Amino acid sequence: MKPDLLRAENLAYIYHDGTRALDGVSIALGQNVKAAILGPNGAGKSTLFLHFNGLLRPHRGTVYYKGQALQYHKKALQVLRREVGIVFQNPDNQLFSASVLQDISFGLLNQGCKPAEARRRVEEIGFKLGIEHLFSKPTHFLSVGQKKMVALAGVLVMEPELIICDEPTAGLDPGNAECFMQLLDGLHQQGKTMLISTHDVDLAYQWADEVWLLNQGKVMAQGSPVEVFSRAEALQAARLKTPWLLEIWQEMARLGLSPTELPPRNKTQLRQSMLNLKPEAG
Amino acid sequence: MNSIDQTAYNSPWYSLHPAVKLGLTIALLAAVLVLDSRIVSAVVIVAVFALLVGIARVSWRLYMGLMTVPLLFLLVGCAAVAISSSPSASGIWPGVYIGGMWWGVSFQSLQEALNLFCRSLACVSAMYLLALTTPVVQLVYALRLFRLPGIVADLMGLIYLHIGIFLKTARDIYIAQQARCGYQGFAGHLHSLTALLGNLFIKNLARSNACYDALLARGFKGSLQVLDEQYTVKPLHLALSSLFIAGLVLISSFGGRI
Repeated sequence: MKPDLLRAENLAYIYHDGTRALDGVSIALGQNVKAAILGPNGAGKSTLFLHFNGLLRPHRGTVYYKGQALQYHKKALQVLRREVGIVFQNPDNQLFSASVLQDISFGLLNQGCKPAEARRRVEEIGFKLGIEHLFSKPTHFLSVGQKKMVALAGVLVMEPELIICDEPTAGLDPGNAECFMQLLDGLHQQGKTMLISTHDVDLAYQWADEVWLLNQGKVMAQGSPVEVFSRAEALQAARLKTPWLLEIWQEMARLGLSPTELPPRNKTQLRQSMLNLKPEAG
Repeated sequence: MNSIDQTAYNSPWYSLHPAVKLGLTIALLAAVLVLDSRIVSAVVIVAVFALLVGIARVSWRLYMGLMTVPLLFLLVGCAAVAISSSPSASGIWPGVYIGGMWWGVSFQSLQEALNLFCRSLACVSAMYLLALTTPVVQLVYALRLFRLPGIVADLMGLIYLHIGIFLKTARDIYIAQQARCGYQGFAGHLHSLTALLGNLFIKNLARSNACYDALLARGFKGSLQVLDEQYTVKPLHLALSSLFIAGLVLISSFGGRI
């Protein structure tokens, strides 16, 4: 079995005002998985993410990357931050430069990449994400969707192993949100490990392979989306709802229409199982 | 601020090498100040107007609007310079006698005021030539080329971006307050304004912390290393700029002080 890429053991973090943001969180993330941390507002999702590239140091517990406990001296952190990229929830906090080109190139040059090589890679990533026409535009005139893309580009260009997106679809319209998630899917197919946080149950259910349900700084449930979302009482405690796909499937099962063994993961699967129910014509 | 910024980004001169634009501006300022000739100043004022409105496609409405503020300021300031006093009434017009002195406008003080007015307005024009064609990002880049210390350049860039964020935050708070009946009456005004200023500070502090975290997450090591767009210096631009300055010198030597 492959060792975990990232493992957090029994993390606890308390803010100055006494808020227990994390209270004994343990998580193990395998290589090349699509994982989601699900939880209501204030569950501790963003705080947890800040631990994963050493921006916060836990008051208790340990974070391991590739089996090694994190070291918090400058050099080790630089190396870690090359491997673990975070796309922050609010792109305005991440874009520090008024120029798109400058902002995307920032992390790359910090890695010690030569300017000529950096320019090539920045252009490549811009082309890949379809934002090369924004390069000479100032970041403060961009739309939220465009800003989010630039923020993602600034992280992707560093070619991290693990890409963490805090609330990737927050503030995006449905079209842009779908586009963004497809991009993340593409990265996963290229072998990257993806971790997102969200309170969108439908998104987590359909997109992720593994889900952790976080509430009040504690992991309330973990496992495959079907496993986690079948735990009605845990969902209720976190004030989250059952994904609509699962709800319909459960309702059909209750009515004795049990369409399939396993709940559908997406609309196509649901449609297929409904078609199977149709009495044979003639 | 936004209209200047937007004009600069959409300027047909956007792609000109920032150092040439900055260099021309500095040379113009130097010419106006050193040559100290009203005709040179007048030529600069008219030429900059013609360049910006005619060639760089700045709307003349915007330009006039931008000129109004310094113009008003200059008129008031120069009026004060034009007024002088003298113990005798000769050469002073209209000659009002107050406190043992004759007050009014003399030929010399008028000359001085006019000189000051022309030079100042010419300098303002030269600065607008830069501001309306050169976004701040380019300006910082050019200043770096002109050996501005890196930390100052970094700060300029950050401050520029954060002024925008700062104004937006202030506007958001202001709207939120108004939506809930803030700014009613004198006391209400003071109360709302205090709350706005205090929270603006706190919000921006929180935001700076978040921004700093995001920088660290991408391996920030104390200086903002970034790639800049590539610009090329066109010999034509250099030649035209030099010609412009040479023309000014020529005018001042022939025209002298009119």
